[in-house]
Amino acid sequence: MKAQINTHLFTQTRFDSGALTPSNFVVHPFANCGQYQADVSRNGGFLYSFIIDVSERHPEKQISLDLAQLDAKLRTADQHDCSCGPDHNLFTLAENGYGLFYASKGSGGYSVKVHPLSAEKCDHAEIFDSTALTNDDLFGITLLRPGDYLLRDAKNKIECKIHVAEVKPGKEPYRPPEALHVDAESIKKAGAQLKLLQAQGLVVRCAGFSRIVIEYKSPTEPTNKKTGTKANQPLKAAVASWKKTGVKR
Amino acid sequence: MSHFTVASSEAAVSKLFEGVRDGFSVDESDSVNFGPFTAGYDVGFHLEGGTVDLQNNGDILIKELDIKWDKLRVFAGIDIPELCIGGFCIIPSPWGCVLRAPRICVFDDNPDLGIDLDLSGLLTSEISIAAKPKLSYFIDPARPAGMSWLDAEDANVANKWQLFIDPDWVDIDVFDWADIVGDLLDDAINTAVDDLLWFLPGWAKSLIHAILGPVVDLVRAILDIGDDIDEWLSNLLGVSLGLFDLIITLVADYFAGKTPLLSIEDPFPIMPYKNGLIPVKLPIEQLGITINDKEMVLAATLGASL
Amino acid sequence: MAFTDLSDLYGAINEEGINLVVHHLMRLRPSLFNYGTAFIAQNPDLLCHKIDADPMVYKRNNPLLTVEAPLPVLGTNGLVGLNYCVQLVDMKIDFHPGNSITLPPELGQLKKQQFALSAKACVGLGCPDEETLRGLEKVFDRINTPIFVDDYVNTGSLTHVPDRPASSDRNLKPIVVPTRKLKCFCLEVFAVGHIEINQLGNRFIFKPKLDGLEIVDLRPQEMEDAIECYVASVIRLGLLPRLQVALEKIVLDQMSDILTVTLKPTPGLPNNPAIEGDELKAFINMEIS
Repeated sequence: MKAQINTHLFTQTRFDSGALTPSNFVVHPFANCGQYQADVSRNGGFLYSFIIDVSERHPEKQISLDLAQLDAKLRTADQHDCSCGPDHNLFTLAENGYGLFYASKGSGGYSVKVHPLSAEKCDHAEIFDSTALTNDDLFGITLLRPGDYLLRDAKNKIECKIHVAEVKPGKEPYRPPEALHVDAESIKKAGAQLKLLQAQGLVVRCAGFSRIVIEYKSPTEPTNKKTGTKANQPLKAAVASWKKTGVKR
Repeated sequence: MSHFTVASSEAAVSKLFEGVRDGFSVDESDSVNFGPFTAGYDVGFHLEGGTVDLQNNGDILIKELDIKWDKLRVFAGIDIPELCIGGFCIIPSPWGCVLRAPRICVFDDNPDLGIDLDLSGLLTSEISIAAKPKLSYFIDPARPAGMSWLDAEDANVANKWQLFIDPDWVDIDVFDWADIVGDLLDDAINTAVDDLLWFLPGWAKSLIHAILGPVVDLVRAILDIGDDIDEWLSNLLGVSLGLFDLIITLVADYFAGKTPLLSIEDPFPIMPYKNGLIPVKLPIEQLGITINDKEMVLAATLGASL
Repeated sequence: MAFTDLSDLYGAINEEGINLVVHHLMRLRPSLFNYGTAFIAQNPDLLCHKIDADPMVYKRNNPLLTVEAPLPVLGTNGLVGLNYCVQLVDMKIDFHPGNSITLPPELGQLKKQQFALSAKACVGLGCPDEETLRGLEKVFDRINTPIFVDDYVNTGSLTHVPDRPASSDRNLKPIVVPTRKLKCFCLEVFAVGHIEINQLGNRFIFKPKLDGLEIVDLRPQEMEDAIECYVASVIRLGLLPRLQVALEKIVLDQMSDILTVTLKPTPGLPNNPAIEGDELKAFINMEIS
């Protein structure tokens, strides 16, 4: 049987930390123990819940939760009361471990909110909302299509250009370089743009960010800066405004 | 002492052989799973040419019998490695990666790359056979026990003396793959990849090609082709898939038992039915054959009663 | 020297073989060698020589003899016929050089390329016995009116016999005189002949031909000659035409089914077929069609 291709990987042009798709993910560190309920929604509509049990007893330092796959497993039952059952909807995590939320397939649009179920042995509870990221959260993305993107956080008025350079097939198989790690401060300082290669990861530390949206703008940079193409106009404007507001060199 | 003697010159035996040879054809297919890949063949061939050389020791040598490939298709199904993105380290540490990004795969399973090589007309092969004549007496299994010779004639289940060429050995020489086979393979690989990715936009195909690396090299590595594709093909077909052994077996079985060189009805008819009068037939009690380097001689002894 | 030094194919049958062929032919087609009237056919135990036929002949209701018309008794206007049979038995063939049949001096020595044939011709006649004959005499006495002296005295002529009224007995059906036993006798017959090949369309046919015939010790000589003439006519017209065999059947019937070739007698040979060394041989070439 022929393998099915994950077409959304190649067709998406808008990536939103508050609506997870196959290319991106969010990470929340669970520093405090306790039992947490995670409510998963898709495109704003509630789907299902599951439990994360954070405890020093548990060895797992990272749980990667595929919201799309869980969707298929858990949606059939009434999940509002989130009665904990074996196998499907209980995950364990070590104290100070990381919960990584992503969607491996489909058109995405997933978001997750985590709230405490009990404060057993805990001093205070965590709250996590993937639509409103906070300081210690991380947002990650892998951009495949070469071209220019615009990264924005509307609430915090942060904008940043991203240029993804095309990779040509060579004699050796291409292995993307290490992921580029940025934060709000470095983006503001950097000024111009982030440069990535196709399939190279980008990790954004979300201090100073709330909701990150990355949009694909154009396939290539304009070769003639004077004329450019209509499609490049917004980018040019962003450069101009950036320079205006950027730190003097 | 025999009553009838019939001798056929080497040329006449050759003509007899042609009739048998022309009745032979093969249509076979098979595939084997080798782990990283499956491979198989779909072949059809017939025989042409060949020279018959009678020997003083009673052997029949058949040389330079050409295998004419009506169809020679070799196919391979290769599992190319997973194509996934992500999986990078989010939080490295001196003790290793603390937090790792998820791997998102392009395909939901290991994709199959199907390579199809049409090699018809690109391979030259020859068969040689050394055989001895084998006489056997055939009783049709459909003939009921106790059936009279005349009832058997009417029911077309008369007994027969049959002469087969019974091979002592069969050799197959596989040589001369045409030079373009290497190019064909590369084309086939590229075509297979294109078939896999045809619906993707150009930039996506380019990225996948970049991740896979040179697909031809990748496939060659999976198939363990090495520098000499001819040798690989011959080895794949001959050893791994056992095609050449199969051919030898089919040829040997055909000549030894399926189609006789001569088939002589017993009793032997000399006058057919006429105006209700029963046919006149002669019982062949014994049949012997000798071969020398000039001719094949059949000696028949008649019986006194039917 | 190989058999096929002169041709593509070679076939030969020796004397013993040909005599076995004749033996099987006589057992499977007895009607080729036995002739008689319908009455004899219905009563084969009356035959001079018991017919040794294959069981299949009886099973498939094949005739034991060829039925011929009864022998007419001359002078009875076809009203009386006699039963008879004629049988050729103990047939034997000898190829050149003749060493198993001693030919009568009238036929001389067996020549090259000739075969000799010996047989017995047994004839049986269903002669009416005395009682039957007397009965028939009375019938024919009634049929045929006597000649009276008055006829001559009154007319004064011996040449004119007055007409008599027709007798009603003249509307008789022909009869074949039944018999309980045939009067049999056998004659020794010797013949010499050769084989020819004639072309019939694209095929070549072996035809045996009679060169001479002798019936031993019949007297007077003229009667022997006349009977020999009759027997030769029977053999040449009645028997041998039924024995001509296509070339491919003699040698390679089965091969001709497989081969897409035409078989032809090898040309240029002094004798083809050849009768020599106590064998009948044929040399055949293949022509690819």
